[in-house]
Amino acid sequence: MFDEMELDDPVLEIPEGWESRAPEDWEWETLWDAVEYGDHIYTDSRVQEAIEADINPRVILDDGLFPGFNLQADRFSAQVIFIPEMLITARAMKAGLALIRPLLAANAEKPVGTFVIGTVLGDMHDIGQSIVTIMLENAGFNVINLGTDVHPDRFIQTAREENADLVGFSALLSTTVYYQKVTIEEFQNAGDREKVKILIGGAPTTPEWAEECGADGWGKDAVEAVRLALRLVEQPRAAWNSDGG
Amino acid sequence: MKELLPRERFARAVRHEKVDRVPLLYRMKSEAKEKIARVYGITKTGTGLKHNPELELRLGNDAIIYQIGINAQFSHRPIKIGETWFNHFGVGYGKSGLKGRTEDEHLEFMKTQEFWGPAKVVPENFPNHHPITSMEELKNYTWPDPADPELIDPIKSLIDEYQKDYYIIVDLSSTLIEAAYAHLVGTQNFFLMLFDQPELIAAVLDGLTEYYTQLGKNVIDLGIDMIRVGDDVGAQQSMMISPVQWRELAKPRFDYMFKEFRKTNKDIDIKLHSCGDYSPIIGDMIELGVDLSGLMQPTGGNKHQKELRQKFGDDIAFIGGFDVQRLLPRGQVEAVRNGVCEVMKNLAAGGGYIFSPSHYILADVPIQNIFTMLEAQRDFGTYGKYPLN
Repeated sequence: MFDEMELDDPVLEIPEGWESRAPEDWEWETLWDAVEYGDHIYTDSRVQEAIEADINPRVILDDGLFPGFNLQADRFSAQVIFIPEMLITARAMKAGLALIRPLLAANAEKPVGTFVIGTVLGDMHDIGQSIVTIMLENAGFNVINLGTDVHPDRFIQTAREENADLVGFSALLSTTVYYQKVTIEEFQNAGDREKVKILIGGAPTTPEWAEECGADGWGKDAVEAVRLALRLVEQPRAAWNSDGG
Repeated sequence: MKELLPRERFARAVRHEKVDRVPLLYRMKSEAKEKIARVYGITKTGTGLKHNPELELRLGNDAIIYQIGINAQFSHRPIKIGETWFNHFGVGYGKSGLKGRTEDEHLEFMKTQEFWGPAKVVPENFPNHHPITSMEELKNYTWPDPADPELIDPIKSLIDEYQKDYYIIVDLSSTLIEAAYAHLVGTQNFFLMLFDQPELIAAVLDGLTEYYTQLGKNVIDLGIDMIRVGDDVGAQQSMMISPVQWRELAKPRFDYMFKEFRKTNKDIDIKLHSCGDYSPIIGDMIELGVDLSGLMQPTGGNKHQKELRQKFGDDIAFIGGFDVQRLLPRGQVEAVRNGVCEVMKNLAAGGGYIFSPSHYILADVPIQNIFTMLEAQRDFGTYGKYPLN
């Protein structure tokens, strides 16, 4: 085991038929590499070129940006790469998305969903939830990150204001995971529990704890959290009233 | 075997020599310490730089551990809500908990907390200002004094008072990578600068290496038994940085540091600590001549305790391994008892092991679980008796 353990190094999945969606002589490989190696400056300029070449923003995202990003996400999940490598890939992805997002919006493409995230009251740890935030944004969510030490009222208020689809609570300490439960109870008390799907995560948390505290799901790591969010956002929820209450 | 003095028991276990029973080292945060101390009628419950070992010795600790690293100054210090306190590294710290509430409101809230039950919110001190985020700041940065009497003097009196019977450990954590990301540079800055400004990160790590090497040599000179270097590079499921990157960034610097330590005292015992899963670098710890590795948080790759003991346990001693994330705070007494037995079977069999929870005991641990752990460790921690026969 350990050093003898053979790790499956995921490989880049080339989007099928990408040539048919790009101008003649176009290539994406340098962009795939740039995202994989976290070169945000090249990513920015190559995405700009793609926009200027009139490639559909959705195509730039799917064929140009996602292959390198997905590769690194899979590697992160498989522990082939670690936080620093994932962070610079996420930063490159973010640079590309910043150019594309306004164009997607102009094409009336909506975010996948709105996700309010934060670390619970009394807990200042934010490495994990920052990574989850970046991954969610890259997966197309509109993410509102409330930071650390977030009071339950603030989660509820923000979820209302933003008509959130999902809410996520992070906690690192065994003493603060209680506040995941408390915050869920406060959503219940406020009458808003059925309007959102609630995810929890953090070092001392488990699927059993997620069930015990009444969450809708638990992610082992950032990659799994995003996959779960994509599934949960499809599930039915009670509607937010138009007055935001 | 005749009953050993605590200091002999601890020292012998570190050297893989025969001991009468598994040595102990309990550590707790102030809230937990106060809670447990009440049961024993103990009133001196200082932690960090104000550490008073009375309670820990009452619980059976064989060693005294005294912190002087960057963590000692902030984590145990009373900081008012809304205030930022700066330590001698120029790092600023604030208090979490009830953001936006005043101190009075907070005190009112604290009254509602159950004293004996699980703590609902225990405000933690946390870094909120990082002094080195650019080359300019690095140029103007003044490293602290590694001969600071405030850090060093209390160790002299600890040695005078306790070393006759107890093994003396001085804790430098956090020492290198963690000191850089959590304190001096900031976590996200640190990870991005590894790529954007590797020379800045290298300089910060060099500065820390030099400071802690000198500080460590100064305290080793006083005649302590063990120097503890703590550097959190483990996350729950894996390492935070790759083992390859750790070998580039940390290993050579620790190599230098430990060689310098051994120039001051060739027999000094060295402990290297990381939270979380650090199993991929245990082999490297052995190469560095580390004597004791912990805290073996039973998560990620570290959860294969038996295999780790088999593979590395003859070349390095282990400490910790008893789950504090779920079992100790939440387990029923039976489960806690079985958990202690399991850890003894996995790690203590064959020697070279010190029993310890895999982290600080926090305020959420019920008193009955503490008593259960103490009892189980007495029942299952004697060599020659089940399960160590």
